[in-house]
Amino acid sequence: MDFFNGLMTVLTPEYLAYSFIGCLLGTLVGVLPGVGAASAVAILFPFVTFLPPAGMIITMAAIYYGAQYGGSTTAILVNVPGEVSSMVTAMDGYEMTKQGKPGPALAMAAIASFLAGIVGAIMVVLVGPSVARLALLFGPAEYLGLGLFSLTAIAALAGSSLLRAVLVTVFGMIMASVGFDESSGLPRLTFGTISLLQGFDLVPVMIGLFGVGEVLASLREQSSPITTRIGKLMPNRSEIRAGLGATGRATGICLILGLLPGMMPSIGSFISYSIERYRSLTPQRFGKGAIEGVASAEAANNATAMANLIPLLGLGIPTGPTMALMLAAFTMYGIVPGPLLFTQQGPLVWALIASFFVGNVILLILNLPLVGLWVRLATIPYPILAPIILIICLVGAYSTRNTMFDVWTCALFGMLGWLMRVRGWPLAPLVLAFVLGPMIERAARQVLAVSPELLLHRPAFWFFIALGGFVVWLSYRFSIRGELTD
Amino acid sequence: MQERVTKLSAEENSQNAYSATLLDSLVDMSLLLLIGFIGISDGLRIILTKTDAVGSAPAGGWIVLLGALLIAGTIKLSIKEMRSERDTVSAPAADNQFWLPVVAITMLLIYIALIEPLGYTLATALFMAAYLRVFGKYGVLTVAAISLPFAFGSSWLWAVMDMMLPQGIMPWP
Repeated sequence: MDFFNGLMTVLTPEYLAYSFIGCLLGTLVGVLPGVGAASAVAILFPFVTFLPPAGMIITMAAIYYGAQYGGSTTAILVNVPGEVSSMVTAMDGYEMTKQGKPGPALAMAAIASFLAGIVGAIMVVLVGPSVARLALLFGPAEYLGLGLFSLTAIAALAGSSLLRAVLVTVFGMIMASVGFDESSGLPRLTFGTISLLQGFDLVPVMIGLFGVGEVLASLREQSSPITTRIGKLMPNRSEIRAGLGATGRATGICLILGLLPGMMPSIGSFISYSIERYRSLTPQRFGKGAIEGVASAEAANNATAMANLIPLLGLGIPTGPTMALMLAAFTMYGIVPGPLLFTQQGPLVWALIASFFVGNVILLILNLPLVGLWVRLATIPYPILAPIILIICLVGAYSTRNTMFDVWTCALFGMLGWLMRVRGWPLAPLVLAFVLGPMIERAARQVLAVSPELLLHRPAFWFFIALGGFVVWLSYRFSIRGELTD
Repeated sequence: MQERVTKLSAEENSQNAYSATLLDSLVDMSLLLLIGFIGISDGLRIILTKTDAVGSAPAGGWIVLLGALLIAGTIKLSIKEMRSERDTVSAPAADNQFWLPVVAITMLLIYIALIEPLGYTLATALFMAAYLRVFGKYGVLTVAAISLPFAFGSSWLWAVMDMMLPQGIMPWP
């Protein structure tokens, strides 16, 4: 009943407009070479903050999956993935383009994304409230364990070196500590400067790392002009059958994996693609234009993104940089994701969940006919696009608190993001540590205030620690680490 | 003789590549160690000087812990990477595009510094013009045709969205 009330809300003209605008903006930014879904959300986030709470959150969610679709468009057509998860799509999608079949590749990507998104949204409806009810039983020890597990998981899954990821995590927690300590009110790492008393805000940090940093990194690449005509759009019957099978398998796998912190859409794409190739009777086709490759990558993307929302909404734990921004969006309005969200903000949450269904339909209807337009946008020369994106990033950073300090923060973290990419340091652990660091510190101090022996009587804490160790082992055993930017 | 020269060049390249990556690693590790020491010293400052404030010990202790973890991890990583780089390094590819981001960053920092004194509109027009000339190598007319409308158009758009950006020396928007 709550879900249907949410659906009725979203089907009003006002909220339909928010979903539509979000999908349009997200796809528009996502097709730009070098700008992925996380970057799109980071760049556009400040510009939707004037909307009412439900409108802003619905628009941001629509931007996210719109940008994911946009990224796959350029990946298929010009082999310039906007993000890591689109790289997997490009492996077979671009080959299909070279074989004169860009239309079926684009259509299959859209269909796979749509189906995975719908199934993922159903899972959020069914599982989200249960996770929230479970989290009501959590105390400081459980939150400490959960926070440590989250950071361990993302360190294990991000980057090529666990130790580098751990160092980045610790660095992120130090950055999050700059400013006033919330318990004692004492200034930390401010060096006597007034500007640093307010600390670093998440939004300029994210815009810097994922907006400015991406642009700087992309200056080294040149996209090739598109010369292929789109032609016939729909795949034939056998392609549809093969693609749908891959979609189903990828969706099933990633809806479960996506519940894990650190399991970002890019990792889900790699895992699903590998499984699809492994189980195929003709694995040699993969990498040479297998439509199952495109379908599994796109379905995995969307399914993981949907599943990522469950820890965010139910536990208040973001599983990646984009979810961290969603968390920031919630907290801007004083809405705290977590166990009480479904009870205290029920109408807003159900409207958000219902908007996933509506948004996926809008995306499917919007993007297939407009693919020619998106292609033309992707051909705008980068020397014109880059300064526009940089200026929009800086304005977005400024609009957070109307202070030039945030602009300088954005530039500083932009340089840091670029250098980290160039030097092989993972970015995602930095963002997660920035968000979760204060929560972990708070929980640790609460545990110490009661007694460290409290941990001995909380099996959930040890469960999360063991789960973190398991994820680390899993990442080594199956070598599923990789550089992530989404 | 030719073979000996080729072999010596490959060894030199490998040695140079090892030195370059070692230098990169040393810079990264030094920065991390510096941050770790700063964290520890600031944490100790809070613990030792703010004894009258409630919660000073946990507040400072957290930073000390993070700083210590950073230092310990950095030392471990340094040792690990120095051992592995000697075995696996190969000659780096020629990379003359590294300077592109450096130039872009320099222009960006100058732009940010000019926003308050000149105002968003003027600073943006100048930044875009400079960027298009340097990176796009466009002619003066093309640069003006893109940068001026964008600067004024975006100023108007931010004003419509109630974003109050620094006006500087311009009385508009």
